[in-house]
Amino acid sequence: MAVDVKIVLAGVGGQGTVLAGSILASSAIKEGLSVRTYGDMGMARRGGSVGSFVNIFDKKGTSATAEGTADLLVGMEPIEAVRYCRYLKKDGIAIVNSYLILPSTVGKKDRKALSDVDNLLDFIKKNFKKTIVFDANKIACEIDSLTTNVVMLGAAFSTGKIPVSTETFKQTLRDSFAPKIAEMNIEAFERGYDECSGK
Amino acid sequence: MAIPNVAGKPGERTLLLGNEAIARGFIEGGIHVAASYPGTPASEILFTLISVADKYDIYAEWSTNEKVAAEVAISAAMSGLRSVVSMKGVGVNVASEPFQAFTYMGTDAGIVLVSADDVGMHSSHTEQDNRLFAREAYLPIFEPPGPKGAHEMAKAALDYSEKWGQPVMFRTTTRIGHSSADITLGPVTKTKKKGEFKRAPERWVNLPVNARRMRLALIERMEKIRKDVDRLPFNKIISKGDGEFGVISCGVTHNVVREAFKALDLGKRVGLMKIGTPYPLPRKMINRFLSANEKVIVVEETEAFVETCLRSIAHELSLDTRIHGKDILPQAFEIGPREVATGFSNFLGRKPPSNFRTADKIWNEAQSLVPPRPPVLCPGCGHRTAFFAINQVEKNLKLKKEGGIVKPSDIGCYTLGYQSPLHAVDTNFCMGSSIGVSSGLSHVIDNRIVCTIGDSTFFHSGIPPLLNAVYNKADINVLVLDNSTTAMTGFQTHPGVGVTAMGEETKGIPIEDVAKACGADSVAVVDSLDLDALVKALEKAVKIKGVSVVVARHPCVLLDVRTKRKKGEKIPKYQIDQEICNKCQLCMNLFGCPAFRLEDDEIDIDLALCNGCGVCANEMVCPQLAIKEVDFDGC
Repeated sequence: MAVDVKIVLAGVGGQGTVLAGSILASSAIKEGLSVRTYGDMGMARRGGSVGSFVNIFDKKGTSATAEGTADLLVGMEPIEAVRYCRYLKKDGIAIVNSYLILPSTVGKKDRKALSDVDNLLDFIKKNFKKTIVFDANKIACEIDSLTTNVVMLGAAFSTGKIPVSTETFKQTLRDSFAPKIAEMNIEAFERGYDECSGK
Repeated sequence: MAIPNVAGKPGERTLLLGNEAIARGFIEGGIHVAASYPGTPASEILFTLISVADKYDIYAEWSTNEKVAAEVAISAAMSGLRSVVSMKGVGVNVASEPFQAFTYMGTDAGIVLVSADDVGMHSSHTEQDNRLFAREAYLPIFEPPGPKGAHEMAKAALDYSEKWGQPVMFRTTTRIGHSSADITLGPVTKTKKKGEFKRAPERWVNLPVNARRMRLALIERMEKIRKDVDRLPFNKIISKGDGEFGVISCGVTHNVVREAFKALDLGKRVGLMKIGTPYPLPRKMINRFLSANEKVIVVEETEAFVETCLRSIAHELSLDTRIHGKDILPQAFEIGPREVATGFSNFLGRKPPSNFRTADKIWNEAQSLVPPRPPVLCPGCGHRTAFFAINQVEKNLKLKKEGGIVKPSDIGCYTLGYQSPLHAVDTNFCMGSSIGVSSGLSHVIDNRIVCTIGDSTFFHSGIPPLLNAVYNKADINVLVLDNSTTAMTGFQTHPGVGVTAMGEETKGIPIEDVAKACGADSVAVVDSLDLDALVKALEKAVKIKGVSVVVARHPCVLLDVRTKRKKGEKIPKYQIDQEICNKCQLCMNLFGCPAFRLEDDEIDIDLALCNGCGVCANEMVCPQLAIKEVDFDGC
């Protein structure tokens, strides 16, 4: 079977959404696969909405992800998951971190209505075949707050849809970071994986 | 920018960001000089070159602005070394003059101007299409379809420039620079490493007597290039089609067009040609393609550049092919598979593919649930305190009655002072404009004027308008927001920092010294996170007649926290004491740090986000004094 998997990661600038995408892409290259990614990057995106697109394939793949074609949505934050879910195909899987980060630019009168996490999650559940929800920040906080992105990747791997072995991914973490930080991220990955496998 | 591996061995396959791939292409093309001024989406090109400068004998610098960067690269070319100058699209405006001059002289060594246009305006204020600039400056354009093509074309652009003795523009966009792909590294060309200035005043001095002669030579040179581009592999007829209609894709749209062909199941029925050199265009190939099709659709982002040229070529060749483009595809913003498929569907009288219709429906419904999330100043950022202080001074001195303080600002992170709840940015044009605009306003309005400009922007373009303000007797206050780095583009060095791009120590030039030397009537320096001192200094400055400069200095919080983390130092954390808090929400409504979280009616501070600046503990932000430093061992 030809490999052709499209993944969309969505989050808030500073959560490591683009970094997660490029680590994932690097691990796919280690498996001998081809990749194309695009991410809203740079300091200029701090605190803003950020999307990262990762396409992994063996022969023919795509570099431009069209709306309604992605296999997996990794939502690092529920508002951003809703913003980017239009890229997911109907029978795709959404993995969503339930920890809300309300934009600080939201005015007084809208704050309450826009903070309804269930409302956001219901919208995704209603539109797509499968939605996995958990609080990735809670898990990350037990390790290091900066590991939320890798906890979410662990959850994404647990769906079995990513054509990279968990061992290769962990090795990529070891190759990308200093030993202490790599180990921390491996723990985050495993915790995310275990939390969501079978869900 | 994870795992950069531009320094690998030839034949190695690795993940490279588009901008890294471009940098690698230039390395393989044998450059020995690279200059730039940081700007999205170009910054990573020089960043990457700096990281491997020693290995490949490259002299790399962050210049004070794009004009200087262009002059540095041109000097290398004059001395026989291959060079590259890279910048964001709008930076080309600043670099325009040296290139307009140099293009007449021609070059002996390959020189490439990288224009990283921000199609979609991800972080720029215009969608400027620099293909138009290139044509005016007689710069042949190389425009890649993606990171892989960019890697290949960057080297080819250097070779081409050297072959024809003409500087070349390498035009990329945000979509290319910030995409990545698995790329196989190629060998590095050996070129001259030591520059030699061969005196030729009849060439390097563009007095009209010389320039007139060079003008004629330039036209002749371009005519030869025009005939040559047909031979380049970057232009190609991919399929002829059955003659009904054909599509011409330009640069980054090539992959998008392929997706749209798939979505609409157009297969080989429709002709497809790709263009990698939009100026000059490959005329023979275009002649063949136009002759073979009744109608041709040009897919290109922003302006109808190729489309218009095609009409002129068709006219010259007496072809009656109908040429379409902007009549069926958008002129503004990026063109994705959805836009192309929808445009083609309308053109063919079909319904757009169902996945796009479903996605549109989902997006229409989703919009009521998702508030916009623009980038905002980080928790702990000194700029927030500075803007809050300006607003406080306006209140303290009761200036609202007089129409309030007018607050021109500039290009940088601090433009985000525009956002709610600060609303402390009234105008923003271009690099350095805060001071120029303030200077002009002061002659025509009675309001007090306090403008804000960052440190790197001050060095880039803030000094001439400051001199102008003093010389022309303006009455303004300039607040320089000095976070000791070029923060917005990823922490590049500048003349105030005391370190070069290559990490060598150099003279650090204090902004206050420059302001004094420019003749400012008063100059003060305060810590950006010392709200009391900042308000006091600003109140004093506002009362002074003439040009007063306040430098608000504190290292960028992201760098600060990063350094502390590395050293294992604790980052202080602040929390709201709910017993004392009277739920007035002033902290959120006036200061608006993103670490404040509202749950039901209670505000608390997200300790994972708090960077410990402690400004919210100040009475001006929390009159109840309910915010205090807390012990926190978690994340």
